[in-house]
Amino acid sequence: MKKKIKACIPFGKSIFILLLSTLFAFMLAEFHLQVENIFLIYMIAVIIIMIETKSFMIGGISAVFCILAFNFLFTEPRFTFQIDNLNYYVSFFIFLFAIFIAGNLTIRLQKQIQIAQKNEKMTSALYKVSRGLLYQNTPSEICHFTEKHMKEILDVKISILLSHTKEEIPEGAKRYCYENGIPCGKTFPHFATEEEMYFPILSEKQTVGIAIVYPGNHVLHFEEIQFIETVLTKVALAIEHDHFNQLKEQAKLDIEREKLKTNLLRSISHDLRTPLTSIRGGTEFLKENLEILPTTTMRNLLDNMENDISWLIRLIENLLNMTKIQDKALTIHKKSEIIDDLISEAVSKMIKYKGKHEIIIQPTEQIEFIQVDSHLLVQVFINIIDNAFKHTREDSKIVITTKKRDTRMLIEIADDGGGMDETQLVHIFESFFTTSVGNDLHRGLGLGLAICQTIIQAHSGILTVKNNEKGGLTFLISLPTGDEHINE
Amino acid sequence: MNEKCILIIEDDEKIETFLQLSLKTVGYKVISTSNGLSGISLLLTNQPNLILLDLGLPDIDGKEVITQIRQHSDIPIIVLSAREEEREKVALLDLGADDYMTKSFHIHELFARIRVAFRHYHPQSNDSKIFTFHALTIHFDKRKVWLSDQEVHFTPIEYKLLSVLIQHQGKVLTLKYLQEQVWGYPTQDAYKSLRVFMANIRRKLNEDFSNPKYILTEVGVGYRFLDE
Repeated sequence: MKKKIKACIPFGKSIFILLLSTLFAFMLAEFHLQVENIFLIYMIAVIIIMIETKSFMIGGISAVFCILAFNFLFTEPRFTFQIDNLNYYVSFFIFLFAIFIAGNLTIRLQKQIQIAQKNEKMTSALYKVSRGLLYQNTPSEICHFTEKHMKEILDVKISILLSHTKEEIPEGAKRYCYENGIPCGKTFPHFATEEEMYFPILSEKQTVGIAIVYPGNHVLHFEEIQFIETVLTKVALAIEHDHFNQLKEQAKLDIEREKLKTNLLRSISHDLRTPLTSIRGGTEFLKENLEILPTTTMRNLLDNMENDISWLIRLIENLLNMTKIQDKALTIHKKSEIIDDLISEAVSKMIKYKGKHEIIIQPTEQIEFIQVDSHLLVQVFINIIDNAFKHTREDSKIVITTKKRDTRMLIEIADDGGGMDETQLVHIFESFFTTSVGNDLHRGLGLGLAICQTIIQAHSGILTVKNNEKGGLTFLISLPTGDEHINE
Repeated sequence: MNEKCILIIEDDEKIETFLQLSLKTVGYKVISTSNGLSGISLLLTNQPNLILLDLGLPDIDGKEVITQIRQHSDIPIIVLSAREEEREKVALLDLGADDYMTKSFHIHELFARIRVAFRHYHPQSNDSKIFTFHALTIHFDKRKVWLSDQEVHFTPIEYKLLSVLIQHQGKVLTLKYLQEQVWGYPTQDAYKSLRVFMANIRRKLNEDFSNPKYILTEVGVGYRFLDE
């Protein structure tokens, strides 16, 4: 029913225009306008009708109607179909001819405008898609973006299958398209019986996938097919681009890892040899002078060696962790642990090295659990405390505070022992970063805090450091608790 | 002095030499071997009083050794483990080992653990109804606990946990052992409730977390009531 009404609209329009122009003509006739001008009004009317209805046929019918109307209403004798002046037959003929030419031109112009508009739409759509593809970062993002926009622009469903090997593409029309790099399916010579259309996505060297178009009842025009193919070349480019980026990233990582390994080896040979030299010297000296040395001297020597050994043991622990991280062998075994227990364990292990330092622990208000790898987290606390021992004033005070905020556990380790220059502070978590601390022997490899950073990040946590108001450094660890709060 | 005999089952020569020397210096008799199987046979032939068992043995798994030893004897076993074997430690404690030491350890700590192990193997019939340690006093018959003249209230479960720990003063008790002693049945919650109880006990005892005086938390393993 709606369709019938829609079809009648052009007729309605033309009738309306004709009536309007006739009325207008009448008015002009009353003012004694020359009959030829009235004729011209009808000409304008018919041209308008053709523009509005875009139909040559309606234009033609209207033209005939105009002639009859003019004849009847305005030529002498008025209100008859009779024509006295034979010239009018010529006029009518010329009228029809003029209408014919004008109509032709009008309709063609209309069609051109339509085509130009469509082209413009396609071009701007193509531009939009190309630009958008630049911002997509992964193959799946590229696919989603393309599928979504193609649907919007062409109003057909499209899905993209990416693959670097033909085995991943299902057999049949799809694989044919992939292997031969030509479109097939509905409306194409190959596999024309399929319901869908398949387009290959070709990059310079190879087919990277296929696009499956479900036209449904929609018959795709030539321009739309061209559009699809153009977009697919852009998609292929985007995918190649992304692939190269990944290779670049990987190469960068490999270089970094190699650099780290070299640095590690270099540092190991230097920093391990120093205490070992001291220990060897001490033992040789003792052996040779056992009888003559006073006990206190011997004891001092042995104490020094003991310290060196403890230092070596801690160093090797850190080194082991470092190499595990490097080889990506750092597996985290997360379990529910009480955070106070972990801090307590770390501090008890460090208590024998505290010297004149003071350590104060402020535990959580209530017993709090956190999902972490206990061994690794204890190592983090040990490393930070060790850093404080090594780099702050002899008698500095270290305060460890733990608080739970929503789903995060915040652990603050703050000292008042001197702080660090802001320009150096930004490097504090970098591997092999150390600042000289008087005695070169106990400078360390500079790995402790880097390891902390890695471990915390592996737990999806955040480790930050800043200079605090007490004139020292505050390390802040923020970890997801991953656990329910347990009340008493 | 009744010389106690310690059996060392350790495959690293240097460590074995060092252990022998140190133990002999403080008056123990020492026999040793470098593999598990001969260790088990030495146990049967020489009847030692305590075993130091290294975990990284070449021929036989630590769990197997303990299971076999326990079939024949209930003498104390102290496990010597390297850093990475921490998880195995707990399993061995639950299988029957009495305590553990992580390499590299301080020899005095080992001496202390050996002493504790012997003490609990031959418990003096302790009729004493009062236990005093630093500022802590417990009257077992009245079930009351005092910390420096102030009475501290413990819930029944907390009290039970405290007494079990004190009963084995100096020795590590695994989470599994404590769970069984106090509740009598195993738990599905990864010992979370047990740990919460223990954490509360330590808070009630005003433990300085950086330097505990009474109860030491051994993360991942269990708890130990200190003895010095």
